Amino acid sequence: MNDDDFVFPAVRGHGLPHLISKGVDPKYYLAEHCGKSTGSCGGVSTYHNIDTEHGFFGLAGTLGTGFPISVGYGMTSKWNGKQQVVVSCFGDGTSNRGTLHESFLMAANWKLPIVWVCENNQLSMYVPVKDHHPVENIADLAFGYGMPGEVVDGQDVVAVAKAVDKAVARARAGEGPSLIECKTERFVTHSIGLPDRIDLEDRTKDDYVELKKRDPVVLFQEKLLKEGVLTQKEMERIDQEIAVEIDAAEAFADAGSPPDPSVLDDYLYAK
Amino acid sequence: MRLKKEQKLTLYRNLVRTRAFDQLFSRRLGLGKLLGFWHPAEGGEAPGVGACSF
Ligand SMILES: Cc1ncc(C[n+]2csc(CCOP(=O)(O)OP(=O)(O)O)c2C)c(N)n1
Repeated sequence: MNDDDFVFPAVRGHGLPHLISKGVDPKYYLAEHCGKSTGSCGGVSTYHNIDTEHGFFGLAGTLGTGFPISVGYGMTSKWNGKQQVVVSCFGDGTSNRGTLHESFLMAANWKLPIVWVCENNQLSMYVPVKDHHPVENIADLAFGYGMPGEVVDGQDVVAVAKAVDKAVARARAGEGPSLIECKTERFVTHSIGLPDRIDLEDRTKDDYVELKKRDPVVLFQEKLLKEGVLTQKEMERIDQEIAVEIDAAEAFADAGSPPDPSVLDDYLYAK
Repeated sequence: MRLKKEQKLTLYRNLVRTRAFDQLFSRRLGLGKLLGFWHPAEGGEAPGVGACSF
């Protein structure tokens, strides 16, 4: 993807995986989430991170609004001739919104350059996907809109990267949208502070042991060590560098001051 | 798409950084040092990282 390609992130991690990977410095997002004026939106948005240089124009608290917004990005790209691509991510629960169908239809009909990425962690808060979606694969929806649909192992970061790369090339060539469903997992609670349940049952220690056999970080680490792409020493160096980055990001966020209340009007009304 | 060594390392680094920052956000929310709420990505980082790294 190019810097100016659009990304609409899914709810997990409030877009952190997407923006880190697209080259945004996460310390500004941390400061934003801490309500500091040094944050990416001056500390007034909590998690609606905006970074126009990297194609991030915020998240939506109301799930499903990302679909039509992504169609808007796609129309912008088609009209401005810049050949920007849109990567629009959403969860399995979010796929139930009616906005998905309208947006899939418009995007397919107008051959908009959108890659729809379903991050299917098989749970919508406490509701298992099999209880809210009648067929096994959400990717099968693609067929009805005449676009390619593919299921990939969402714990295999390489498989995801390859599938998205292919779909991005297709979109950029003017051939229209694609749908990629990544079968993934959620290792912890839906939201910090809430119990972690499936239906009315708490997830058990055994559940977590089973889930973590498919840890995307560990799986990839083992693969790279085996291939000789990564050495133990390099792994430790990367860990150390990240620990230093984390400390610096916390220090940056803690040092910032809250925004002055007088700026509130600046963000409410168009000038 | 055939990934070069550097690209694989980029993916790895982005995954590990995401995990580390995500856990930091979770920890800070528990300590009252993050505003609002936090929906952790832990376990489900690969779709976002794989989609946005290249
Ligand atoms: C329209 C709407 N309904 C409900 C919610 C509350 N809510 C926030 S996250 C979430 C779960 C969404 O599940 P899914 O789309 O599968 O994403 P996941 O959280 O599993 O990554 C819900 C119900 C919301 N934000 N918006």
